[in-house]
Amino acid sequence: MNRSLPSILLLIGWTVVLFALGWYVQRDLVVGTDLRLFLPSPTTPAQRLLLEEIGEGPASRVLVASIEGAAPEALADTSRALVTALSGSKNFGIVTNGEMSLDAIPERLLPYRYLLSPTLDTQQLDAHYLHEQLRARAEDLASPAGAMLEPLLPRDPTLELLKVLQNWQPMHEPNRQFDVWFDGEGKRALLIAETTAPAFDPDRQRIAIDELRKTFASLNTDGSLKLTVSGPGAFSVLMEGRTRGEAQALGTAATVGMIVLLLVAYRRIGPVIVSSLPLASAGVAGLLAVSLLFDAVHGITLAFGFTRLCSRCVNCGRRLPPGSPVPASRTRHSCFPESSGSRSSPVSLSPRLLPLDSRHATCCRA
Amino acid sequence: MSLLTQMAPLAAAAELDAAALIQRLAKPSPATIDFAEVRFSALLKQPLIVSGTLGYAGPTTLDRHVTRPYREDTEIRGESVRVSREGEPVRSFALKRAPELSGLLTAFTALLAGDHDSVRREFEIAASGDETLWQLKLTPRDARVRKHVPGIQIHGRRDLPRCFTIINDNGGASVMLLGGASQAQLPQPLTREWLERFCASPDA
Repeated sequence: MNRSLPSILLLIGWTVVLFALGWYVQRDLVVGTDLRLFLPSPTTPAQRLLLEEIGEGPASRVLVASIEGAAPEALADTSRALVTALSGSKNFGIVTNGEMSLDAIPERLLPYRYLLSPTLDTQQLDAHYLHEQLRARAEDLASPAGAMLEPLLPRDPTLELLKVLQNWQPMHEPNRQFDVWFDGEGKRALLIAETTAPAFDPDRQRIAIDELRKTFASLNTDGSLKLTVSGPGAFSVLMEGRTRGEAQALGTAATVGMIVLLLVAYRRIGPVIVSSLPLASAGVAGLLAVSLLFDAVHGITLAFGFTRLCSRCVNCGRRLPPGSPVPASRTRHSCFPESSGSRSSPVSLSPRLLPLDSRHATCCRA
Repeated sequence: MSLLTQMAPLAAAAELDAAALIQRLAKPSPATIDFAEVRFSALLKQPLIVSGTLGYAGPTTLDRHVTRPYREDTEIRGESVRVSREGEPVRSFALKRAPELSGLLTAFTALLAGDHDSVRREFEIAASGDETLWQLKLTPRDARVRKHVPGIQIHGRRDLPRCFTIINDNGGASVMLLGGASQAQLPQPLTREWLERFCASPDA
C-alpha cells in the first residue's frame, strides 16, 4: 500500500471530527413527523384554524374504540371499567362511553357553567330567584337523587350544570345498552377517548394507544374480549409503523445490495469502507446545518436526503479507487479504467450495468 | 364492661341468626309501608324530614310517594328511576348513577322478600341483639359501592324493621323510619344521636 503518513493522519482526523459532529447532531436534532409541514404556510385566520384543527382539533385527537366478544352486560362493565381506569391518565383528556354523569364534565369546563347555560339570559339572579332555587334544592336533597347532587350544590346552587348537560344531550346518539354506547347490532361496546397528543404525533399517539391496550389487557383477564381502536391517531401510528418497517426492510436490502456490488467491483473491503466516509460526512454536515438553522428535520426529508446522498457518494467512491489519480481527460462514460492493469480495477460489466450521466461525472471530479 | 360480656355470645352466633332473622322479615308482595325520612347533610342547619309511603312489588320495583311537606313521586323500575314533583318536569336517571339509592333498593327489597342469599350476595352482614330487638349492619361487598355507601344499618323489633340508616360518603346520613316508627313525634332540634337512641329503644 502506498499511503503516506499525512494521508493516514488526515483520515484519522476526519473520522474523529466526523464522530464528534455526529454525536453533537444526534444529541440536538429533533426529527419531526408532522405532515402539516408539507402544506403551504397559512396566511388567513381561516387557514390557520383549519391547519390547527387538522392536527390538534378535538376531532383529530379522538380515538374510537370498540370492545366485543362477550354478552352485552359484560361488555358494558368492561367499557365502564376502561373509562374509569383511563380517566386519570395524562395521555387522555375526555374518555367516555356515553354514560351521563355529573362528574363526567371536566373540571376545567366547570367555571363556565353559567356562560354555557341559557338560564341567566332571561333570568335575573336576584334574591327571589335564588331563594326559590335553594328551596327546590332542599327538596332535591330529600329526594332519592339527593346523595348524587349533594357534592355539587355548594358550588352550583341553581344546578346550571344539569341544564348544560341536558342541552348537550345529542338528538341522535349511538344505541345504548346498560347505559353505555353500543353499535347498531348491540354486539360491540363503543367508547371514545380524546388523546392529549395531536394526531400527527405518532410517538405520543403510540404511547396513548399502548396505554389503552395495556389497560384493556389488564381488564381482559381471560382473553375472550377483543379491542379495536380507530381514529386519526391510530391511523398515524399505523402509517408510521408501516412506513418505518418498509423503509427499514428496503433500506437494509439496498445497503446489502450496494455493499455486495461494491465488493464485487473492488474485490477489497478497504474502498467499500472509505466510500462510506463522504456519505457520512455529507449527512452529518447536512443535519448539522439543519439543526443549527431550523427547529427540526422531518423524517421524510431525512429519508429522501439520505437516499440522494447514498447514490451520489457511493458513486463517487466507486469511481475513485484509492490510490489511482483521476485523469482529467477521462470521459464521462468511462469513470473506470477499462484496462489499466490495476488489481483494483472493477469488472468490466460495471460501466455497462451502471451507465453514468454527466452529473455523476462532475461529482467524481469535484 | 358487663354489657360487653353479655353481647359477646350474641355476636358470635351472628351469621346463623341473620339468615333466620331475614327469612322472618318476608312480607307478601305487593306491600305498602309508611315511612318518614330524616336527611342529615353538612349543607343543612336542620335535617330535612319528608314522609309518605313506600310501595314494594318485587325485587326491582319500588315506589316512593312523598306526601308531606310536599308531593313527590319516585318510581324505580329495573334500572330506571323517575322522580316527579308537582309543577316540575320529570327527572329520570339510571339507578347505577345513584349508589345510595341502589343500595337501599337492594337491601330493602331483599329484606321484604326475606331473601337472605340476595342480601349476602351484595353485602357483608353483621347481626346483633336478640329476636325481639335486633340490629343488622350491611357493608357493600363492591368497593365502588362501598365508596359511596360505607354502610347500611337496620334496627328492628321481632319481624318488623323499624329504622333504615344509610351513611353516605359526604358525611351525611339518611334515616328512614318505617311503619309505626314513622308516626313518632320527633323533637326539635332533631339530632342523629336522638334517632339512634330512638331506633334502638325497646319501647314506643
